[in-house]
Amino acid sequence: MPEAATESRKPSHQAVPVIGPGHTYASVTDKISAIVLTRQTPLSWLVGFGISFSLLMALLAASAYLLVKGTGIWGINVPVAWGFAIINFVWWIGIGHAGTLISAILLLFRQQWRTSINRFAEAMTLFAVACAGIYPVLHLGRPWLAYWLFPYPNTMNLWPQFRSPLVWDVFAVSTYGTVSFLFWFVGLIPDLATLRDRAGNRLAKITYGILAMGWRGSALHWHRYETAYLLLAGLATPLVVSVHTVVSFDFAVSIVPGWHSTIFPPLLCRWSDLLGIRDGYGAGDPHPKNVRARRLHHHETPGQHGKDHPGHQPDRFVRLCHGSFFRLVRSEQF
Amino acid sequence: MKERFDFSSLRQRLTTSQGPDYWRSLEELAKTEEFLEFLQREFPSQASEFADPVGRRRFLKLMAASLALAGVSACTRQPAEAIVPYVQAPEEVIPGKPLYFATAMPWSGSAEGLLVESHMGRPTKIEGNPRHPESLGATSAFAQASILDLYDPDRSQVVSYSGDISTWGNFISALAPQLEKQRLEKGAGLRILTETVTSPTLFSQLEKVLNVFPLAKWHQYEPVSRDNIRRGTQQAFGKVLNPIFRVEKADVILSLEADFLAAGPGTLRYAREFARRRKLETGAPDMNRLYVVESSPSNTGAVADHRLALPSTQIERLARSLAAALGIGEASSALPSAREQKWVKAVAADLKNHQGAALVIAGEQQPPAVHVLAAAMNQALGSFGKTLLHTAPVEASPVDHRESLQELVSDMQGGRVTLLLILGGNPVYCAPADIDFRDSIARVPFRVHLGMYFDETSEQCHWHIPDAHYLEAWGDTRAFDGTITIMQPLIAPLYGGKSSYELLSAVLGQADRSGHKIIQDYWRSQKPSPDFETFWRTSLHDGFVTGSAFPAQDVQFISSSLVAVSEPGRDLSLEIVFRPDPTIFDGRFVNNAWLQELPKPLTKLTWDNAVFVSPRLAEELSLGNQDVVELILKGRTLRGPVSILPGQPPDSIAVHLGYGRRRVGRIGSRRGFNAYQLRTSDAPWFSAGIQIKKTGEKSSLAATQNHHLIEGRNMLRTGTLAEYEHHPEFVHEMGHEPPSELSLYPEYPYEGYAWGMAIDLSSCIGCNACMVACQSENNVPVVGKEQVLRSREMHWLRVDSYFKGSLDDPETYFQPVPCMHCEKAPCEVVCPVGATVHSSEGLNEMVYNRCVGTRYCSNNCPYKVRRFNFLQFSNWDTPSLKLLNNPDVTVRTRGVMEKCTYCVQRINTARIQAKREDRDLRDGEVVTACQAVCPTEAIVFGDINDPESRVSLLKKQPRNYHMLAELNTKPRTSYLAGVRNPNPELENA
Repeated sequence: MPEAATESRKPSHQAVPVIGPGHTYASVTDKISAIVLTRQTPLSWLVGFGISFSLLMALLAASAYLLVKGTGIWGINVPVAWGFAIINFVWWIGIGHAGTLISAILLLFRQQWRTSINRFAEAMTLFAVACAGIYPVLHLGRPWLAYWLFPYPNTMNLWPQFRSPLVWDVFAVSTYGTVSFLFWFVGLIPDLATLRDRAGNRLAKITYGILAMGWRGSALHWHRYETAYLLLAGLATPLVVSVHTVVSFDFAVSIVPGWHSTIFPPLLCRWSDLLGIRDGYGAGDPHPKNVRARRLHHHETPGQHGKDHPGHQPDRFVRLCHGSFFRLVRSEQF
Repeated sequence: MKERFDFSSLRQRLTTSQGPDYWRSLEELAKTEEFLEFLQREFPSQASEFADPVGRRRFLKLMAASLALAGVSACTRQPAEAIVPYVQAPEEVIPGKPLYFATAMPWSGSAEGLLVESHMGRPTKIEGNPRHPESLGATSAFAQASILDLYDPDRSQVVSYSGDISTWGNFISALAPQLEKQRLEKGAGLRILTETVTSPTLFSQLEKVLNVFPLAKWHQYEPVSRDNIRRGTQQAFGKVLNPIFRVEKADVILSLEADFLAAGPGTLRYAREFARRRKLETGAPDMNRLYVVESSPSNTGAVADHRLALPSTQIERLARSLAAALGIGEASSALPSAREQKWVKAVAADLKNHQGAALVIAGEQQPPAVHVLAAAMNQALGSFGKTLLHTAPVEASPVDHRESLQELVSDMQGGRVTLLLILGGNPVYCAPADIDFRDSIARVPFRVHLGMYFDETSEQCHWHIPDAHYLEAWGDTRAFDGTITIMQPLIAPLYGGKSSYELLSAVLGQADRSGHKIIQDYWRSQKPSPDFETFWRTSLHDGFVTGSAFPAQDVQFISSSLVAVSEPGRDLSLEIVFRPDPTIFDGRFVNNAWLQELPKPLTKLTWDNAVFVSPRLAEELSLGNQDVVELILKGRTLRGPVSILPGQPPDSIAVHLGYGRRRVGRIGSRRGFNAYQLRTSDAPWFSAGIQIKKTGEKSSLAATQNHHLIEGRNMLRTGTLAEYEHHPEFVHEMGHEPPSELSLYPEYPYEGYAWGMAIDLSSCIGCNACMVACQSENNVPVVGKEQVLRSREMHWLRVDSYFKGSLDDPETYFQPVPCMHCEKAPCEVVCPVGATVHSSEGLNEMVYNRCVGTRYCSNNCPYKVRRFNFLQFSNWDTPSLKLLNNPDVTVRTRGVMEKCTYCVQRINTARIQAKREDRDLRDGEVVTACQAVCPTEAIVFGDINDPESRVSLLKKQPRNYHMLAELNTKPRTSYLAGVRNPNPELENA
């Protein structure tokens, strides 16, 4: 979009109220930081946490059973040696894919409405990458030796076998995980400083203080922050493509009929976009009821302009993505 | 696969040749939905056995035996035993260096000469004895697997009385008054039941017993005996004779339902001689030609140049027509079909043209009349003394087993038996259905059973004495030609077993005599000193007694015996055919997990037997695989699952004996159905008038036929001798072969040895000995039926079978598939940790220690020869099975990939020896386990850098080809295309 046109449209957008009626910057900040700092943990949260925690325990139980008995419990065989694990790996990587992509690309394109979703999109990426990382480890015949895939100096002078796409995976996923973490963390710094300033409890003050890395909100800080954030966004965007291209090499580089195909890198990238965007927005909230909360949220980040109406566009997009992902999954028999 | 096949469309596809040239199963041919799903399914339907209580319970149960045991302690396990050196080292035992001892495995009236490898006093591997006339260095799958029986933890381990633990001493003191009683009445109530006795020592002991107890009787019974051959020779020659075939000298062979390449005495030798005449290495091929008439497909039928599928009941008629065509007797009645008439005409002409070099073999399953006809044909063809020899019978006392058992049973029913000794065998289980052995035995007041397992017969006896395995006890036995082997034990009885010799010695009042003394004393009486010591040592060392083979006798065919041949009935109703099982035989190997998991040659069925029906019958009755049917024969019924077998005649169904054991051990009990329940003494091998009824139930069958399938690619290449002579390079036009310089990676230099293998598909008879040899040599675990159903069998070497041509009467080919050891191995590049690497001699090596179990190598292997330990398959906890392991090969843990190594441990053993002698390895010095046991010498291994090595010469043959050559993986294992020698007159018949 040409810069001039953007400039010329600015006044009309400024006419739209970006803060909900009855709110000031301070009240919005109070309201949001209260979620973390002062408000009682709501019962619904505890219930949700309880459910999630039991699911986590189920994961632990299942993993323990797996570790005791071996990967045979997954029903895999020769020739279908990967089955369950590879599907989950690609699925979670796909979900992780779009969180960073959305956030970074929207930042690069100065789509300010991203602020309503970027935080949890990025968080989703991090958690999804962590989930994805579980499967390649658990799928191993001897998971306790997973570290042999990393190049670490050892007395036997043994290194990974660098021609294997699985080693490329290790690098692609760990790089992607690192950059996604940095991108998420850098974006968090001003907010962590806000929490530090408002925390009553001494422990919280110190914790947030350390995490805020000495943020004082000076113009120089903002300047450097924005440069770093933009650079990370620039770095993350190609990584998003590379991670999925590399993941797809697991298939494309092999000579298995049906896998040995050049379509896999673009195909997997596209799938992941769809998956991630669906989940990114989906996790955010596709429900119009929450639009207000989203508005509140996007006041938190500086430099907001509210270029687009935050309500409609993403919702429709989410539904579109959701549908087309499942169409793809169904049609490809992956 | 639960579907019904649309047979008419299958036939259509085959006749219009839209389908593949070679097919492995009906499912593949039909491309049924289930089959496609099986091929493409990412998540197998039975994902976890955790949710499946039956599967889990069964799995846990099996784990304790020679199967998997879950290894919780997956980390490094150090043995916790104290190691104490010998104070006085036994002679010649050097730790780490195996010793080999010659012995023989006696079974079913014959014996295979063996060399048994022993590590520090424990036998670990069985090899053939190259100097033994039957073995010639090869062994059968049974002999290979018999070592697992030795260590089987399910063997009976104590003397027991009425099920309570007792001792040998108690038994002797209980036996003594009984014998005293018998002595008074001259043994009138004493009966001894044995299996076929060929042992000279045992025979002399039995004679002594019968001298002491003159009214006692000795009976023999074995369910798979040679009664028909004995009766046949009795009729044809006036005395019982032992036919010996000189297959090497025969240009044309006709088998009347004789599976002489895969079952029965002499089979290893016959297979070798047969295959020698089918090698095309020398310039002028003088290939023999094999015609087989049979009902249920056998290995011999599968490799025949022409196989005629005919119900067993009809074979006598065909034999009669053939004999008539050769000028003997008269054809009883016209043959029903023009096809059979044409067949008879062509075969008769071919046989006549090879006067003196023709051979007609009648199978044990055919009645004596067919044996007489075969003898007449052999007489007319001048085979006697040339392709067919006759010797004295190998059996010490050639009695008719069924009559012998019948006599015993009527004596028992009449209350005339007061003391019964059963030496081996399991008559309660395998007696004919019309002989009520089980109930009659209850009338005997004192019953003793000597057996390896506490089985159905032991249950019915007062005393059970654990039998010693042949590797634990002294003994002697005769091979197919009468050659005697003095069997020496390799280990003291693991479970305090007693041999038949020791039991009989106890009957003779010498309970303390050791087996060694019994055997030695007998032979001392035969070969008096001063030569005895030399004789004894030489015979033990060589593995046979020189010159003990029976001389060939001049025989005179009694032409009047032809008249005695009864007119065969023309019962055209459905017949049932009984066959010994191809892997567990008559049931004696039922608790052997190696043999249970060994896919049966043609059906690839494991762990079960089935009712084999023809595609046509299945079509008529709308039966599918795994449908349970009820068989009704003479008022007796039996239920079992169906397996559709291409090549089975439409009017015939086949069942295998040996399954349906109620009590034997954890591996063998309650598997399959007991076909003995339908088998009567008047029709031991086939019987017309069977009724078959569908029940609507299903029973799962674990067949590996569709496992590791490589869809529609040209794995197998075959041709005819005429094609080969016309155009020797024909095989290279059957697939795309890219130029070798296409690879991006540079060629590896091989300065020393470069190992390679060539497998001759013309020779392979699909006997499966290589698979068990590989399993034994390389400590390959068994996984159990549930795991086979999940396509997780661990065999490093598999033998694929392919069908070609029509559904009802296809040609069959076998193809052993080990690791290809590719030059550009797809598995090597994808391993992230470098656990599979290329050796400097071109081996594709697996480093188990380094393997983390990503399974990528297996995914990327185009030949699907890699095997993964999905669970803890190898048994770490059963003490006796630890002794079995080959110490030169790692026992793999759960989570590790494994595959054929070309027996790298054997390469290295030979290399060390060569280095010590400061020389290069010679061709033939390294012999892989599969190569060593192959009766047909189909597998040749060696150094392909040496242009004169046998393997190099084979690889230079025009019919040498590589599997999936189009992938440019450059396999080190190559195949010599199968060449058959069909009769032009019968082509397209």
